[in-house]
Amino acid sequence: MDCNNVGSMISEVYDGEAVSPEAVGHIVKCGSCREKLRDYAGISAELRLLAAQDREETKMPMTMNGAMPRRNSLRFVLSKTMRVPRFAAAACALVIILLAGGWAHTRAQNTPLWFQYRFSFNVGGINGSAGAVTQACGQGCEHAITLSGSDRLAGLVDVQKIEDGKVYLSLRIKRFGTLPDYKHLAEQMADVPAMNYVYQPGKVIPVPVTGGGKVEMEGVIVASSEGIPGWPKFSSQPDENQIAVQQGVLIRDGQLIVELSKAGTDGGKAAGPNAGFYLYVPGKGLFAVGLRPFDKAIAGSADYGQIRFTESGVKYLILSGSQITGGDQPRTVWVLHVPDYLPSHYDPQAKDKYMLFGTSGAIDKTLDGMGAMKRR
Amino acid sequence: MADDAALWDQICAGSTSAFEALFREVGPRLRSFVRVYSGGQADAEDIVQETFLGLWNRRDGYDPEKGSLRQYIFGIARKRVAQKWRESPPEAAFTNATRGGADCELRASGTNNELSAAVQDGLMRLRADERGLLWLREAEGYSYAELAEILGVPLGTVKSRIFNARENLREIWMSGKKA
Repeated sequence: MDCNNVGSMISEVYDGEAVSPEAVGHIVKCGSCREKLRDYAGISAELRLLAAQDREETKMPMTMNGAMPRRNSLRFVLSKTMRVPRFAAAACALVIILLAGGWAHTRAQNTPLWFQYRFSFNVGGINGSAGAVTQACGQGCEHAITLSGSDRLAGLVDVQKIEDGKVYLSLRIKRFGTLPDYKHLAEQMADVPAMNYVYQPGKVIPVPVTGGGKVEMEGVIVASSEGIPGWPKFSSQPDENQIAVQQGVLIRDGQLIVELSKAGTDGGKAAGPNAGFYLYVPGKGLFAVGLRPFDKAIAGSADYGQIRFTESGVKYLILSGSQITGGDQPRTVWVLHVPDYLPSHYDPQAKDKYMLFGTSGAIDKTLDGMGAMKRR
Repeated sequence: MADDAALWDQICAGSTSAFEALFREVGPRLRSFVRVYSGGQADAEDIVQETFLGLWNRRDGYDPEKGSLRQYIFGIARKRVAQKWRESPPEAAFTNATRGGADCELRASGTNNELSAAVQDGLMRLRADERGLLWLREAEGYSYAELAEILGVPLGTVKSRIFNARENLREIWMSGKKA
């Protein structure tokens, strides 16, 4: 599937119409197609504004003289109350840093090879994962990755070189009492000893966590920052107890309000009794999707790479580059939106201006831990 | 607006207040659509009046089972615009059915920036069927299936025309952004 094959389906996807999962997969992964989605959203905003203002400007005495039977010689004037569309709110700036599990991309240096890796962890019986694609950039050139915002696991990954089919890297993983500001993560991990590895791609290695427990890491060497789509077991068809978002896009009432690829993450995957994901968007609140009903959640519909739901008359569409969940399609999923949620209400050090994305094997418990259920 | 079937029952029973409520709700939207669809060539006021008059006089014409009342009304208006084109001199009819008239300007005083003006201008440069579809989709939120009913075209045609409309408008939008 490429841009030429997608054709008019990009317009259909934008409108929330069902199209093939392959088309959705291409559209959310392709920079050019996402650019089109953004342009469509911009055009849409202009047209809707035009429509609203046209109706407002012309709330003229629009009479029905002659249009009604004589016995009903009504002369009525259009109401002066006009509905103001919700889209009038400007799109929030996507100055975003990943604060939870997901895939991140790091800029290239010299070598053409990239290392795509993933950490897997289990906290309180809940599975989670987070990963990234990065190039080797020499010793001390580490990048931070938050493994689980709710469980306060974070790490620093330093890929020093990729040579002879092996990856030379050092890792530092820590469990925090309170997750620090992402920008200052390295400072906060100064006391964590770096563990050096000569990693053989494909193997799963345990990595001890400062503060207790361990995580597992696995990775592969890839040729580009695109990594291996769906690696590992990521975009393969999930089973009915798994949920995955890859290079997600959130469209609200025709407005493209989030692109995960611009957020330093491409998505995440989870499995468990109520697998789900959450997404905090500054100015828009917290969105959460689970596979099972949970308190205050409303029903939505998952159809391969698309999730549709309507809240208070506002239509939402989540697109993913891979199938979101398994089982018969379309299937019901459960969605919670907490418009006034702020991370700082529950974690004084959290930055409300950053987007949050995370996956969880028990989304209801994760949301409870984040204070979202009380807020709602 | 009340449930379509219930509202229609009231109108069929001769309730002018129900009819007025419908007019208040749909009239302004319908007029915007007519202005866009006809490219400003048809008198939108007349079309709206005729549409509602026809609705009142033929109260057996709407079947709630076949779609929403608004959808039905927009469909009538669309046919009336087409009828106006047919009644126009051939040359004018051709112009109307393809490009909008130069004198068509939506009243959008608040959108007087260049980008908005470019989109508005671009909209009027689209083919009538494309701009009508795009308007109903964006401004009225109709689904593709509903649009197929209103415009009387197959679903595949709706998809391709909306895509073409967006792509054409996007080119104008892009040049507006660069400017």
